[in-house]
Amino acid sequence: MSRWLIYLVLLYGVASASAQTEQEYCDNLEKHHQNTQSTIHASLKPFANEMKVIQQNYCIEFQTQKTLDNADYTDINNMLIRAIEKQENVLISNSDLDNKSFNSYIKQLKSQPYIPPQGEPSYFSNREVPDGYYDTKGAVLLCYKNNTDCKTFMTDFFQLLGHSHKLLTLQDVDAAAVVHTNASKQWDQFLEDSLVQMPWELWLNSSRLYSQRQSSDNPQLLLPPSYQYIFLRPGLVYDFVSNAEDGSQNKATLMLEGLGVDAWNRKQWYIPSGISVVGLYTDRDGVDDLGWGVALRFKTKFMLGASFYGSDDTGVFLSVDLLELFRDKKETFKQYKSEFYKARGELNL
Amino acid sequence: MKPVLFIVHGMGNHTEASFKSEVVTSLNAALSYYPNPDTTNIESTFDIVVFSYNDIFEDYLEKLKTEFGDIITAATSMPELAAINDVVDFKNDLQSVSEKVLFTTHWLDVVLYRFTLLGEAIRARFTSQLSQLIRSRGSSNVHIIAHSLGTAVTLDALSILYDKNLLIDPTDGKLNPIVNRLGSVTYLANVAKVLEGIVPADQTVVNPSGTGCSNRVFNVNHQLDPFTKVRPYKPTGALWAQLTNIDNELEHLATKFPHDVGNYLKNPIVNQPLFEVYFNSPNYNDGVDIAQRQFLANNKLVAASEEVIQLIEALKQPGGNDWKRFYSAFKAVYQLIKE
Repeated sequence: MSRWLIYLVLLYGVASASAQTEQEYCDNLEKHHQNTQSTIHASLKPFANEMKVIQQNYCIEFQTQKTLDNADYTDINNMLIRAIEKQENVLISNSDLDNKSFNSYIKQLKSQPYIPPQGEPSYFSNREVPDGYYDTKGAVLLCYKNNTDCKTFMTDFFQLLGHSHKLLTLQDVDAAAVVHTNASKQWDQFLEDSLVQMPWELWLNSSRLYSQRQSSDNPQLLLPPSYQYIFLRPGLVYDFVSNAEDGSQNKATLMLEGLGVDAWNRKQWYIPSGISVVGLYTDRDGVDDLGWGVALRFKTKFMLGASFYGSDDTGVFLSVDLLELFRDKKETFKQYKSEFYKARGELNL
Repeated sequence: MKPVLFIVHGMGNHTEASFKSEVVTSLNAALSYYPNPDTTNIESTFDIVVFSYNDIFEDYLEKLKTEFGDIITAATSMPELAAINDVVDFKNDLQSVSEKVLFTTHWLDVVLYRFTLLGEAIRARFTSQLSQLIRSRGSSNVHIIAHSLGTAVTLDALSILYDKNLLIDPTDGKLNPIVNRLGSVTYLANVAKVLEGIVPADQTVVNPSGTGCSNRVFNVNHQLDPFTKVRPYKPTGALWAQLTNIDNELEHLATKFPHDVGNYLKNPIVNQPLFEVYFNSPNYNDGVDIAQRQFLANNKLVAASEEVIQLIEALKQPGGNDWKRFYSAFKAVYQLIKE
């Protein structure tokens, strides 16, 4: 029994360290080991030494920003299992494990090198088993129901291993949380800032994105595309054609973007974010109704383009973001329109 | 550390609050059927975290309708464009059809998820939220309940989050399934096979084997749920030996529509194994018979559907021809559904 009390001392040292920040923990690691090494019982020393290596390894990584690779991970897991194997006598004498069940437990850990934290006895409904404290898989009885000392020992043992395990996985989970949170933010930004896609554009751009997925067996998260294709997209522009008859020069014109591309996250407003080839239609005196044009898009919203009608007539067109215009500036637009027609009427154009 | 139930809604217009309320109400009702439940308020033991993604569909459709509608409105209001007004006269019909047939039905959610990049935005949100939960709670304290379209979202997103090859490379954002194993994953009304696309559904890392990412995986499909019949999720092979299938015995109606999440969760056939895992207690296995009786007694629809089920079984037998009684029982169920 004295051995598990000593063990608790070791556990206390590590567990109390876990309440500190990584920096404090690592700064104090040497001191922590000096204190605990002197009180560790001989039978626990091999295990404690390995724990020390794992903890130091973690701190080296924390301080140097070195990342664990798969080989490191395998080595450390194997080291933990070896540590448990070495503690066979300690574990058997403090628990209800016998040699056979201990070997069975080690075999299971090797087949699935995960040391689970244990909080309370497990329950398994599908087969009759003695009441007691089992490993997570329910394969090995660690303690009988009434053996309180055994349960305390095993619980503490798993807490210590769980702490080591947490150190192993912390970096992995931290990195995953950062990678996926950043990806999610990028997608939110894309959905907010990119052009609203017509259904057929959405299909085209989605097909292009998913063609980049390298493996369907072990898929990666894809980031939003840095640019989107524009395809048969309707819109309205104001087109100025100088060769048109007076009164017809400046007209609202229906536009269909045949094919184009836009980089939705272009930062500089003065560098075009996209370019499109467009078809144009309006009922205008003196100029063909149908024309075509080339347009540059700025900040994904505003378009500036050149229009061509027939063989000689050219124009310049400008669009504003219709979504914003009609949602937030509807009243302004109505006023503008009213003033426009009023002025035109007064000038008798 | 308080464990967490991460619940993922299905298709249709769900809000965080409405789906949470539906799940919590159903689980609390289910707990109350047992003689010695650990609690009758699931929120006292678990934090309930809703994964909501319906807003992504809604925002897209709203922007699309606004943009499309604005163009039409502007075009028809311009005297210069009078000549094209005839061309766009169909706008009202189109909008009406769009709203009734496409924009407000469940199926558009499925199409948008399965075939467009909105699906990847949803999966990114899922993996982001879940990885943060695993970081703060520990993976074994995270239990997932996914319903309907949410089953496909869950399977796809977990397949992305976890590394099937068991590698650890912090730069790729993947988790090793062995050392970050979830407490449980429950699929209710599983449509993952119908929407299979990101990963082959029977080869995913979301399996209950030694190299899978969840200690337990429950695959629950109601006999009368039409959505699960199209392509049933029935993975086979070594990875799936520990999969818990609940389907053949699940035939009672606790709500008017078999697909409802409440219809699944209230049934002790479903919730008994879930509660065993959530509370790690034998009380639910011991009390399942009482819970079943309470379930029948507290749900008029369940009791009525029980008679229909028995009569269907009788009709299947040689010489079974009591159609009159079956029709009478069916009418009673139909009346309850209408109510």
